[in-house]
Amino acid sequence: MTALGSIQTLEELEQLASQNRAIGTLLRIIKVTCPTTFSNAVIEATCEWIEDATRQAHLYRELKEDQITLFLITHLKASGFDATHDTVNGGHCDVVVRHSKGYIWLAEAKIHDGPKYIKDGYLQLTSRYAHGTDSSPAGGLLIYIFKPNAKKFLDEWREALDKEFSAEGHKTQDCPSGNKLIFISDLTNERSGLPYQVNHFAVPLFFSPRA
Amino acid sequence: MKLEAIMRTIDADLSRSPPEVREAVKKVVNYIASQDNFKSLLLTFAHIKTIANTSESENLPFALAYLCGTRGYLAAVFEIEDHGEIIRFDAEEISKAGEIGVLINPHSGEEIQDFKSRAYIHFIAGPSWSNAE
Repeated sequence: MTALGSIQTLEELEQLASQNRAIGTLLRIIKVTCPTTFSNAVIEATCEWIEDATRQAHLYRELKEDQITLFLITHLKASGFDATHDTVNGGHCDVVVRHSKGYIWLAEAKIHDGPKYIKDGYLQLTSRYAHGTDSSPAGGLLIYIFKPNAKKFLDEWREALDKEFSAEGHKTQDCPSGNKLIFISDLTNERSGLPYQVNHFAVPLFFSPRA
Repeated sequence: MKLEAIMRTIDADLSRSPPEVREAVKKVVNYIASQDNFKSLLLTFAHIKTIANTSESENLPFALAYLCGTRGYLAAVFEIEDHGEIIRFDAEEISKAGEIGVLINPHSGEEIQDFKSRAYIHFIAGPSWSNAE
């Protein structure tokens, strides 16, 4: 594999990025040009953290919501993002990621305790914190699941969301990346009247080894 | 922003990162701060590898991602030689060209063929240094 120190051109960097996750992160950071590419870069970094957290689920067993979220914040910071927890942003949003050009990505995080509790987080994000302006067209809902079969719980939540919010114009879709532990909901932000998109991330943290 | 304040920010941001990444980041920041005219700084990956003196496959990409991230300590620029002149593009211009598959020479108005293989990456001091002036 080519070493990073010998990279000279964009083509070489893109080739290397497909083989090395860290270089992929670097390339995404370099390529942020608008709120959408910024959101996508944050989402990719969030997915990386979810993979790591799932692999190390035993470390998260005793943790509370905020403590788990701090691990994500730390990962985002180390990946080059200005990420904070509990910043005053129309209240206390769990994850606030800012870009120097004014782009903002927000997320709420909930330990799964039934669709009602997840719904509270969704409403906090979409009706309290999200500005829904051009600089902040997307956000995330992180669902920490300590029970087996995270996919089942994500599907239940999606079904509840479809049932309760489709009349208000919220539409869900599968994640275009093919990741089955993420789905997307599109809505019109009440405050701005502009389109707003939420990525719903299942974070599988069940750990109960049988041997 | 004073160098000590930047170092404190780096320590806080990278408190849970491998110490090697933190040290690599600090070496590059110290290097930029030591330059008489940081505006003329133009670093290649090879330069940064030498300055950071760390593992290329693990620590260096994370250090560079942090440096190029929203703190704005470094910014990537791309230089392309076209019809005998060197043209500099910022990352936004190159990224947009990547999306549509076409990069236009701003002087001639003509398309630059095979721009990805001809776009040489350099790093300049990022916006945080200008804000510090």
